[in-house]
Amino acid sequence: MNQLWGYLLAAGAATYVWRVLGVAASRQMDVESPLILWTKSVATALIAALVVRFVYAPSGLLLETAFASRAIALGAAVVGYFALGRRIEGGVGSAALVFVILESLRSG
Amino acid sequence: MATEPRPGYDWRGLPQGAAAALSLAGVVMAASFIGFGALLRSVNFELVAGLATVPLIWALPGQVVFVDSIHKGLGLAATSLAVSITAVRLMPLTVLVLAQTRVKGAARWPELIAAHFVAITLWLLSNLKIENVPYRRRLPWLIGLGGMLCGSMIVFSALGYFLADRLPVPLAASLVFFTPAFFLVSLLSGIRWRFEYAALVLGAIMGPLTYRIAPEFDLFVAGIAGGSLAFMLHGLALRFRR
Repeated sequence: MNQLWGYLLAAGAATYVWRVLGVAASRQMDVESPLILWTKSVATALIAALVVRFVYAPSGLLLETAFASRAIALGAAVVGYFALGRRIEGGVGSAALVFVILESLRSG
Repeated sequence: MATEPRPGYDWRGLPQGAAAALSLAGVVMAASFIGFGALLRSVNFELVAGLATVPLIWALPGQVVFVDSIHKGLGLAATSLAVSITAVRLMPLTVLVLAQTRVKGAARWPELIAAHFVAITLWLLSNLKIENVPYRRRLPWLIGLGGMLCGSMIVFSALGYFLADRLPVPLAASLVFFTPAFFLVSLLSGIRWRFEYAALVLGAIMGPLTYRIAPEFDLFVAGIAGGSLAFMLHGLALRFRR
């Protein structure tokens, strides 16, 4: 019990370290500086990699779903976003709809 | 008496930020945290400690890795290291979020509070909305938004814990799938520069490749390599245009 909380505090601190480093680094930079643009580029690529990992190497509940459902639904997110006038709701809604339909077809 | 206001933050931004939590992003995040609560239940994790990961770690990938490590019986050092690796990406996100909030001469300590709330969703929401928030209200706005999201997600995690045995698997899986769909669409809508499309595509291509080579560091490597390549292409394009 107490040991678990020790682990929890250590994990929290191990996370917060990166946030403090971010605060320190942000003090040196301007919004439109090349360093910020590069940082944004890295963050965008990193999140994109995280997104596709949900498709090819999912964990937990998504393991119970088909690769094709996940891949096609993610494609539907992009198509829905642009086709419905660049709206976030359009993209997320299309993805959710396609995903639920494909998964219920598969299990039904 | 000086009539000039002292440089500082306008804390009316705090409740405005809290109200901004009620958004599509908030709903998607709630779906993800219901999924996290269901995960806690599925590995018989102690509820209170599981819920405490929300405010103490506050980044879903780190929380999932933490629960997974404890479940596997890893030691203190290994668990902390694994969680810390997932948190590396919070550093650039913190830089980007705080770069939009700078107020000259204002106190710096609130940045340390806002930094604790930085997560992908917070970055995406600030990308979408912070331009319309007056400068002096931005940092309080972030703290209000982050605090409200964090508090609410404790409740949604608990909800997921209790719903876990009652939801059919396809429905529960759909809740989890909201997260990547939302991340992707938010990235698209937050793009201001053309090279960011290149960063998105390169990151998506390099992710699976780096996962084969170094599964623990895949995101970090794909981010640095894909993002840097896209940024270099941007530099080349600028040079050719001249």
